[in-house]
Parts: sequence; structure tokens; C-alpha cells
Amino acid sequence: MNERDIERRLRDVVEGRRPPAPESLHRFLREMPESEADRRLGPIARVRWALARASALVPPQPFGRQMRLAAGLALAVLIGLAGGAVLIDLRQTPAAPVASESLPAIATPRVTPPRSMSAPPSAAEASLGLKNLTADGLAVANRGMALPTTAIVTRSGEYLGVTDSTFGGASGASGVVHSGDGLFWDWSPPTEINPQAAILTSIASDNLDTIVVTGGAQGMDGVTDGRIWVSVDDGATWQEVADESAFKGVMVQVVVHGAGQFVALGWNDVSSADTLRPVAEWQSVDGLTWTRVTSPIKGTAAVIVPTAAGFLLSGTPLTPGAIDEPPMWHSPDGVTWTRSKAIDNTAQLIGPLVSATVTARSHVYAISTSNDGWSHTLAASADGGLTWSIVKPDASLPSAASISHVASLNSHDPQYGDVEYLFATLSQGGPNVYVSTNGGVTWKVAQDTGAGGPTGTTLLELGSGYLAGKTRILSFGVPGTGLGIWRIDVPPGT
Amino acid sequence: MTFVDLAEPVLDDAYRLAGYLLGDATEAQDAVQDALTRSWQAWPTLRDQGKFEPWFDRILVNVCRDRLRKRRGVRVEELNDELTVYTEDPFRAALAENEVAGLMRVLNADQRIVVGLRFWRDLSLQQIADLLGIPLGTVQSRLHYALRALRDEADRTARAGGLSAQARR
Repeated sequence: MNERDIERRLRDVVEGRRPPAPESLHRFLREMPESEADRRLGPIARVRWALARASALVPPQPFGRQMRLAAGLALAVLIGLAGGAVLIDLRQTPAAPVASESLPAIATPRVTPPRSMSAPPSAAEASLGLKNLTADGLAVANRGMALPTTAIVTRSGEYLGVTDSTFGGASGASGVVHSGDGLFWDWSPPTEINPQAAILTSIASDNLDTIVVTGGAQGMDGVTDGRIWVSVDDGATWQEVADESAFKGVMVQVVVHGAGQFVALGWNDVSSADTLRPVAEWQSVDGLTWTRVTSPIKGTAAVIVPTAAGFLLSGTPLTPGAIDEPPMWHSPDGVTWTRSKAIDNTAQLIGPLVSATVTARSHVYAISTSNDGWSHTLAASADGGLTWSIVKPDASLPSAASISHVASLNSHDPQYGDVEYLFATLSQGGPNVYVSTNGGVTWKVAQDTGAGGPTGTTLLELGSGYLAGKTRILSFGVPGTGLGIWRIDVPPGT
Repeated sequence: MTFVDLAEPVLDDAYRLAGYLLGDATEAQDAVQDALTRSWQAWPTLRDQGKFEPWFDRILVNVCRDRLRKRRGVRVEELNDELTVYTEDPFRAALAENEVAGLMRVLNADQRIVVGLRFWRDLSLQQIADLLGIPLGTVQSRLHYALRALRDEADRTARAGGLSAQARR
């Protein structure tokens, strides 16, 4: 069956089938309050309204969803009135506990990228190999385990990651996943984080004992509130940040650590109005106490990475910049942001970033959207994000416009010395993991040393999460669309 | 125009979109109700009433995406076929009768949404990009990889069927 057959059969699904909305839906709509006062119902009045709507819906069933909806709303308000922290959505059938698959943890030394390199960039041809991680012959994605979108290495040398909708095995859900070696992940969310009630989005560590997990949960009022959980003992125990009001109405989407503090960003993507709202930003030194600060960007997307000088932020500007100012900012503390500059009149070619990586030499490579709105441009900064220029790869990279993600790694090559590796994944078919050792000018396909190989497999989403260490990068794939985790081995390090 | 005036004409299409995305009539009804409630609350922020439908569709798709995500944490118990009354649910029936649609389980929520909007809502790729608020290239790649995943799964299923037939012989 080829893809045209697939398309044709998909279209057949709806051929001649146009079931109309049931009358109960029309009735639900017609009975919605129209006045502004009704729209701004207080919690009690809203429960009354919801109860009235529930009774007007389709034929009631024993313990039907209408009753659960009403009961859920009422309970949520009661909890809210009592100062409780959680809105319980009783419309959702409680999920069965996901069986945790315990695998022997393999102790792995903590890997930390070198922070300074003395050797100049090498022109060495990288002899890298991608290996799919099938130590026992099984593809990771087929093991039914949740794979992380972002992950950290804990102080004790283990890995913690969070899953979201894109990733996850058959038993996966939004939550925290754990690995002893970065290869095999088990679904072991800390009990303090309820994956059924929240969607987790990001994880960051201060490289000491504090780990922060971000996310959000939607209440019965349809409003998504941000959530932050913190562990101050290297992941052993967790607590939710008590000050919920700080995250009211906005999902916390990403958290990073740099310059001695955590910085988190939040936005919603529920309606077009969200594209006009400022991106929320919070700052915390200890992960427990968060302060809302003002970000210079708006909308429903942002990229933030820690740099040697603080943080680099990119998104849609709240206010237009000068002609030489791309939509990027740098900050020493995550609070005061300064607009970056572009050199060589290239600012107009650099749009909001979709991916960025900071090398051990503080070079920053980033993928930005370009003027046409969807092709991508590779930009680079040699000063930690203060000034930017465009990198134009040569013909060795088949399509610079389709780079979807960049990652970097430093290692010591026995022949060429210290080498700064830059990886790019392409969103097109064919070979789609490339590596460059000269700052993105020339590229070569990462060699495949495993079964199947990167050629022809789906690596588009691989770059969405990775761990960079001294000797390897782990990338995470999409179950059902290719193998799950690939390891990129580099020459032996020093 | 009132909110009801704007929402009433799009209700059937919204219900069908949710139904095919979620594969369940009851859940589709819940999703549309959720989307109506959310959009009703956010309606004052809609500046151009002429863009109500794509605005509402975007909210509905987000509701469906949330539901698809939450589903992954739920253990699905297979029912005895004799007890499953597909005929009462037009969406279940349509999806169950189509050999490719039955493979949609291999897609993640985002891929499923793009496939649904393309083939069941008949939107162009640009319309999908506008509706979802994502770049056209992302839509293209999601669709590309979704179709490839469906093709691979179809091939796997066919191979497995052939092997089991051989084993029976």
C-alpha cells in the first residue's frame, strides 16, 4: 500500500457520512447566557449555571457524565473556596495506574560538558556514528515505555525526563520518566506529581540538588493554571509550589537554569487572543519562591537557553525593534532583557527562533523562522547571543531551509584535538541527521552503525529533546514513526 | 450578532470534526461542549466576528488535543466484539470499517489532528497551518510522517497477517 492509497482510504472514511450534531448540543448552545454579566459569573453562580445546563442535556444515565460534570464543578468550587489547590475534573474517568516497568539501573558517571575549550575550532572530519539503542535487540520505542521530551542528569548520575503528547510509549502519559543510563526509561512518576491531572512540559536542574518540573492543569472552568513542582533532594521527594496564584491562568511551558537561577516561561494556546498576550515569565533562585517578571515577547511560543553570560530569549516582540534588531534578547539575570543586534544587515532574515544550542565555547547556533514564515535559517553568535549573523551552509547540506533542530557537543578527537560538533536534523526525508565541525558551513551525514540507520527513518522530532554530554547526545524519537532513541557516539574523549 | 447566532451554523461541522478526531460520538459531544464553553468565555476577545469559525475550530482542536493526550494514560480494555455496538456510534463505525483509519493509533495527537483536518475536513495545508497557528512546513512534515507511519503500520499489519496465515496452514 503506497501513500496515495493511504490518502484515498482516509478520504473514504467520511465519504457519505455527515452525522449532524445531536439536538442536545444545539440545546446546550441555545441556553448559554448571552449577557456580559452572565459571562462574568462568579464561582457559585457558575456552578448554578452548570447544574442547570447539566439537567438540560441528553438523557441522564446512572452516574452519567452530566452528573459528574455538575458534581465536579461543585466540588471544584468547594475546594477552591476552601483554599484548596486542585481542581478535580470528574468528567474524566480516572485512569488506571500505569504499570511501572522496572529495569536494572546501570550506573552512569555524571557527564558535564566542558565549559571552556582552549583549542580553536577544528576542521576535522567527524567520524561519528549513530547507534540505535537496542542493547537487547529491542527498539526502545517498542518497549511501551514513555520517552522524554526534555531530560536532565541528576546529581546522582541518573536521568529524569518529562513526557508530553508527542512522545511516550504505549503506556505513556504526561509525567516524569526515569532512567538509570539514559537508554531505557521507565514510567515512574513521583507520587507527588499526578500525571492524570496535569500536563508536564519541562524539567531543569541547578546541577546541585534542586530540580524543577513545570506544567499546567485545566480546571473545570476551562482555564489552564500553571503548575511547578520542586525537588530539593535530587529527585527523591517532590513538592508543589504553594503560591498557585502566581501561575493562575497560564500554563508554564518551559524552565531553564542559568546564572544561578531558574527562569520559566508560560503561555496558553487556546485562542487567537493568546497570540497577542505577553509571554509570562517567572524567576526563582531556589525553585520554591517564584517572582513574576516582565518578558519582552508575546504569543504562544518562545525559545530560551542559558548562556555563559546569562540567558538568550527569542519570540515575537511585544514592540517592534530597530532595523538591525532580530527578535532575540540577552539577559544576565533573566529579569533585564537587552535586544540583540544583527550584523551584515541580516536582521530581517532572522525571525523568532525554533531551536538554539550553546556550545562549550559559548558559541550560539540557532534556527530561526525566515521571512516566508516557514523555511528556516541558521544563525550564529560568537559572543553568547549579543550579536548575530547568518550562516550559509554549502551544498553538503541539502536543504538549510529545512533544518528543524540544532544541538552541539564538544569532544576531544585523538587526531584533531578538541572539536566542536554541531548537529542538525532536517525535516525532510532521506538522511536527516547531519554534523558539522566548522560552525555549520560544511556538513556530512552522521554515519549509521546500527540496524536500520537514520536514513529513511523519522528523525524530525528527534531533536526536540536531547542530552548533551562529553561523549554522547541522546535524542528522542516518536513512537510509531521510527525508532525511539539514538545515541551519537563521538571519538573517545579525554 | 450574538454568540449563539455565530456558533449555531458551525455546530454540525464542529461535531463531525471532533467525532472523527476522537472516534467517539459521546466524547465528541463533550468536546464540543467544552469548546463552546471556552469560546463563550473568550468571545469578547474575538475582534473580527467574521473569523468566528476558524477561531472556534482552533479552540475545538485544542480541546480534542487535550483529550487525546489524556487518553494515553488510560488503560484501554478491549471489549468482546459482540458487546460492542458500533452501529450506534457513527464515528466508531466509520473508523472501524476503514482499514487505514483503524491504524490511527500509531499517530500522536498532533499528527492525528493534521490528518483529520486534511482528509476529513478537507482543508488545504495552508488552511491547516492558519488554523493551528503553526508554520506551513510543520504541517507538511507532520502530514508526511503521519502518512509514512500509517503506510508502515499497514505494511506491518499485512505482513503479520501473512505470517499468521502461513502458521495456520
